Amino acid sequence: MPDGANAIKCGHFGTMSDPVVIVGGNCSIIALNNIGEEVLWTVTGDNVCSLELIDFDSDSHNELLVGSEDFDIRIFKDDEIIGEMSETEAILDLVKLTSNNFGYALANGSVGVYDKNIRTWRIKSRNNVMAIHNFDINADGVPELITGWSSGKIDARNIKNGEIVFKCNMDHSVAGIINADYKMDGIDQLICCSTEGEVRGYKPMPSDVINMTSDRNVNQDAIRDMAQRKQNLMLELSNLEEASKPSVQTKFDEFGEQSTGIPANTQIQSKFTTVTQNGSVKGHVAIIMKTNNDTIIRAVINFAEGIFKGESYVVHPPYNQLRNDLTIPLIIPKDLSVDLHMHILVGYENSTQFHVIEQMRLIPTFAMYKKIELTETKEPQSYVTFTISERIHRVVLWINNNFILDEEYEAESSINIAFMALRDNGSLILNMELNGQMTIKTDDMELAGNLIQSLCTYLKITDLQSNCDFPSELENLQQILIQIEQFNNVRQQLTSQMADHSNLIRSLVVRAEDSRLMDDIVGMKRHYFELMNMNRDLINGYKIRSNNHKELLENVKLLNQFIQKAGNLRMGKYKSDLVSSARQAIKQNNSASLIKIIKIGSS
Amino acid sequence: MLQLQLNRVDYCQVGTTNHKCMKLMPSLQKELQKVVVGDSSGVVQLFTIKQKEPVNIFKTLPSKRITRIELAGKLNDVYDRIFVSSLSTVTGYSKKGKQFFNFETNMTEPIKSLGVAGDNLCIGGSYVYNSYKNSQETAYYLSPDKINDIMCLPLTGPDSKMVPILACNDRTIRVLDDSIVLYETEVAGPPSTLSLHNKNGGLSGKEIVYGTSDGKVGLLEMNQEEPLPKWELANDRRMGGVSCLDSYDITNDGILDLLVGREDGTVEVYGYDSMDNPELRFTYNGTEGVTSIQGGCIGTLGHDEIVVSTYNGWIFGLTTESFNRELDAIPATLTIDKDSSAKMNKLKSELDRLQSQVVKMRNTYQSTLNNPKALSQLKSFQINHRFELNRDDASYTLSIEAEVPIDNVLLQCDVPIDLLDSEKNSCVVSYSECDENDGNFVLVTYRCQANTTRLDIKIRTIEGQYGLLQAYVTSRIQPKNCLVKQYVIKPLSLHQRIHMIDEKRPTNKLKLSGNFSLAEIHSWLNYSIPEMPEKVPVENEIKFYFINTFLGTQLEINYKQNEAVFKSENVSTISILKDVLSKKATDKKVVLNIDLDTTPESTIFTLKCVHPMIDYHMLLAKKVHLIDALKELAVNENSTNFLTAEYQEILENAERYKEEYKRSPSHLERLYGMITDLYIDKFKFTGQNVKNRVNLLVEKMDNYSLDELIKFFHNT
Repeated sequence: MPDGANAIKCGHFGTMSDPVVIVGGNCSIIALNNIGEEVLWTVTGDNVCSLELIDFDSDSHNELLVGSEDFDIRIFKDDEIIGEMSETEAILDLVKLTSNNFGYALANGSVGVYDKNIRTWRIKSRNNVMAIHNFDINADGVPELITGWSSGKIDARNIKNGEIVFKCNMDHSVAGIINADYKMDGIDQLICCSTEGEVRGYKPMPSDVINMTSDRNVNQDAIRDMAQRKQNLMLELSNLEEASKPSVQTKFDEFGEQSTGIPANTQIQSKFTTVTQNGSVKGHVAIIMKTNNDTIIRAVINFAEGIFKGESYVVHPPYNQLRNDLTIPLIIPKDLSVDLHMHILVGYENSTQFHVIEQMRLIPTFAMYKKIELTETKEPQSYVTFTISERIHRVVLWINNNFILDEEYEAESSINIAFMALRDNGSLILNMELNGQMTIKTDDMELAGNLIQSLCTYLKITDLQSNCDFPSELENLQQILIQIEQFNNVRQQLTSQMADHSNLIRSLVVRAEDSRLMDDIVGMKRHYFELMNMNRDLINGYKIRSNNHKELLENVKLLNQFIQKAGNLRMGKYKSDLVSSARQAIKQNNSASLIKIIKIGSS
Repeated sequence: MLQLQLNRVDYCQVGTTNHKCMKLMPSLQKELQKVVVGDSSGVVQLFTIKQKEPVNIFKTLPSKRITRIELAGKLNDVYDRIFVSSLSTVTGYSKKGKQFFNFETNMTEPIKSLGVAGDNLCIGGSYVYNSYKNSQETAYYLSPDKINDIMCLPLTGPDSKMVPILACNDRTIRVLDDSIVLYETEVAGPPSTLSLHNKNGGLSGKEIVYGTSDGKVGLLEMNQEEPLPKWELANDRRMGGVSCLDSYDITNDGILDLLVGREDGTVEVYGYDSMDNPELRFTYNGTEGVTSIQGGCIGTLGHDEIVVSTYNGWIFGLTTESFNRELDAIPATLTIDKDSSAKMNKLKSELDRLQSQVVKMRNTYQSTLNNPKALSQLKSFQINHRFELNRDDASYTLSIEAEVPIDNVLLQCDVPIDLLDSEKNSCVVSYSECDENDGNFVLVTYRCQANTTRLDIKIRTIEGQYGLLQAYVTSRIQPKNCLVKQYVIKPLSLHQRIHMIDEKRPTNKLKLSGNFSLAEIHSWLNYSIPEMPEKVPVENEIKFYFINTFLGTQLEINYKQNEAVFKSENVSTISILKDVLSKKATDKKVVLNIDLDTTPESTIFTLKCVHPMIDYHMLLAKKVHLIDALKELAVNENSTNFLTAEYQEILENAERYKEEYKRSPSHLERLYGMITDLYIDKFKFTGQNVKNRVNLLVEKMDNYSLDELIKFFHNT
């Protein structure tokens, strides 16, 4: 397995009649049949973390779900991607629940359930997910999503709404969860194991019985929960009553604190704009917000997944700079469309109480590109070109939706628009002629791929062939290929060395033992001394080999990613064609053919 | 000993409650006890539980927030008269709800605590204590620090004198004789609540139990001249502050047990061993702060229970009545609890009704939003919050408890602080990037799960780094609303008041003289050191002692008009004080003469002071490193006899060491930091800048040895 093996799954896949073993490695997926032959090979965006088989499109053939480190869950039908869901962290685990539903777990402590490609619910905890499993704990015929947490908590959640139907606690972090008929009574049990070696089994049981047995706690909890909801509603009611009172003068409550009123029609206007790099300030997306009166913005708390270090980013200006407007600088690390949830604290300078105005904004996928004049750009050497049979008007719409533009872009006969990447100041030129010929000029092959994927999804194009040339990236590719070859050579050399060494060791051990039996202490010492040296050599050899292997893997990953990037320049069957012919070319060690394939999309 | 098994039963929810605002009425015959409770909306209600549902006997109209409820009665009679305090009024109700007493006090502060003995009434505001007999003022006392609770010892006869006892925030319990202090005694932490031992004060009738806001509990016998401490429980498990105490024989062994309610929602039951020392028998971990705790029987006859009220107004019982817990007996008990299903249905319909009301109201609200002249008022929600230094681990605890579910809390601080996560929190913590130039050293959000009303955060400060910590608490209730609370981090943030010091230590002396008034120097010191009284003491020359809770070094301050003298063996303490006070004086345009006298012995003494701590923690770290390897050995061998005694000991106490190690994360780093400061400060006073030698010092500490370190301090 030159690509490494991060995840493994056995089962029926696609139209193949026999079960296969599917191995997810560094950006690659390999399926092997019962005699170890490779029956399928394809690439995916990043290292694979999790695999699951599920009949996604209900055609009674299993599709493959692949969760990877680039936060994406991809669905492979044979070697073609038929769906892609973007999550907010690396996908640690995937588990099939019913024929349509599957659960997932992320590295940031989120778990959730998808129904086909629609997420039905998700929750996030501060703890890490250690294991997820499918088990019908309340014996209602529908499985629950069982989650084992690093805190030792195990909970079972309803797959429809995420409500907890059962929970319990282990003293230490959960290590694994399986189900098996351990007591041999014909009923499967849920078996959980903790890192400190505690193993527990749980019998499935109807939930009302669970209620009865666990100190009526669940019942009590339900009542408490409802009472709490009642209390909350009552509080909201009194809040609303207070807020709706048409009073004008400020009031003092019983503690003498000034209760703050702000004009009822206070609103926040906000807009996105892009700012280029300026000295030490990196290029970023800025959200400029302003209240419509003399109220000030004390702070803004932004919640979003996947673009901040944690899950939040706070802007809290110093006291002497409080104004009724505020700018939030955002650096978005990758081209990803994100929901930004903003809590804006509005009040007056000396308020101890602020109104929280909530706003949801969608950051467009290509937010980190600023529109510039064509004349200002240096034309990139690389390009990708393809033809689509769509009206220009629709592509213009796509541009307006996916980029931040200070004013709407309009074009009649042809599109010619230039952008500058805020991350690395690279340029990007989009060009479309009336005949549907479209050219994307950029030196960033990944960006070109992302643009094509986004455009095709928007225009509902399923198959697309394209031509490209990325001189600098292709040069990189050649470097990678040379390095892989070098590393492979070194590896073979090292392996033969190791075989030599082990033969030597065997003879040294025998000789040393012989010397001992013959009371030849001097000889024995000498042999053991040599043995020690040999051992040291072996260890050093191992270190070199493992470093070599690491480098090799790194390069193989780059190669796989490269193929993925090249694949992303195409859609549908052209994409899978490219991947399989690229694999063929690599197997035959034919780099000229590989480059040709990448350029024109087929051999 | 039989394991105590208690099950929670919820009775009802009232408005938010203050400490000691729920009592159980005494029962004459064998009948269920009644519950009297007062809440923040000013409603006092007395109810009994019938078929798990509360049935009101009386309920007053809303008025001012209820601050205390006490029961009293004639000597040797049943205590069934209800005394209620709110703002400046004390009201008395009979058990039937008849108001027989209404007394408007002349207090200038809102009433915070209340004690009743016979026809005597003791009332405490924040600082003022007043006593009244037959509504006539009989005594007055102004406390040097906040009064947290008041109680009276039981009267021994019709003519016996009332003995009021005050729990004051300066870690002192004061016993009064009319208007003067009979005596005062220092306890381990700021006492937050007082209670009579065994309901009657024990054999002598003078024993009281106190709880402190840093979680300790102790027993004192308040004799005529001086108190006799009996026992004290440390807060090893790092529980929350004690909010209420009661005595009740819940274990049913003929001896009254001690019931403890804590601010972090914990309820504990302590029994007594044969030596009358308390032993933990039961712990219940709730999530809402406990405000009152009472032992009694209110739900089912014959089943004793602990009745608890929480800050959010829940009244629940921890009852000895057991519900079916047998796993195998399930088929027999498949009948669903009828009570709860009825209760649930009722709640469900109520919820629906409210929901539609809310929708209607939301529309009204929306329409007012379009009115340009209207003002959108938000009803402020109550939060109960505390920011306090714990002596045990020299860190601060910030506790926030709101009457409404919290959506998120944003912490902002303009100086560097360390935030430690508490296991109990279930919220998602996220550190936001921040720009120090905007005065933001810390910007952290705590996003809470649904129905979270309470948050505890441990905070470590660095002495000399002073500023403001702000907490923005956003409620989950629509329209959303955010309260800001501010906490001052003082320059000597890790110091705490003590009442006695070791006079023999070598000290460094800082003397400031200049043209400043007593009030000025007091306000500067109040700015610099925690636990300084807010008001200027009445004496002309004032003396206070402090201890550095982390290193154990002392500080003595002595000030009067135009002169202030500070003594400490810790040069860093003196250095910080010098910097802060000269800055303050410059702001006021006061010229200060600074007279400094440092002794080299003092630094050596400080190093020796710290030495055992470093030694201990280094050893602990080493032991913890070994545990896994040793365990591996133990698993593979039949016996561990071949290990040395030291290793066997580590294996035996592995869990304890691990626990301890986990409890004091980066303790060593913190100690090293303090030593570095000490080093820099020591040479700062001699005019040397040694910053370039700090690296050498760090090296020295990596290969720590006390002698080497002392040598290094000397040879520079």
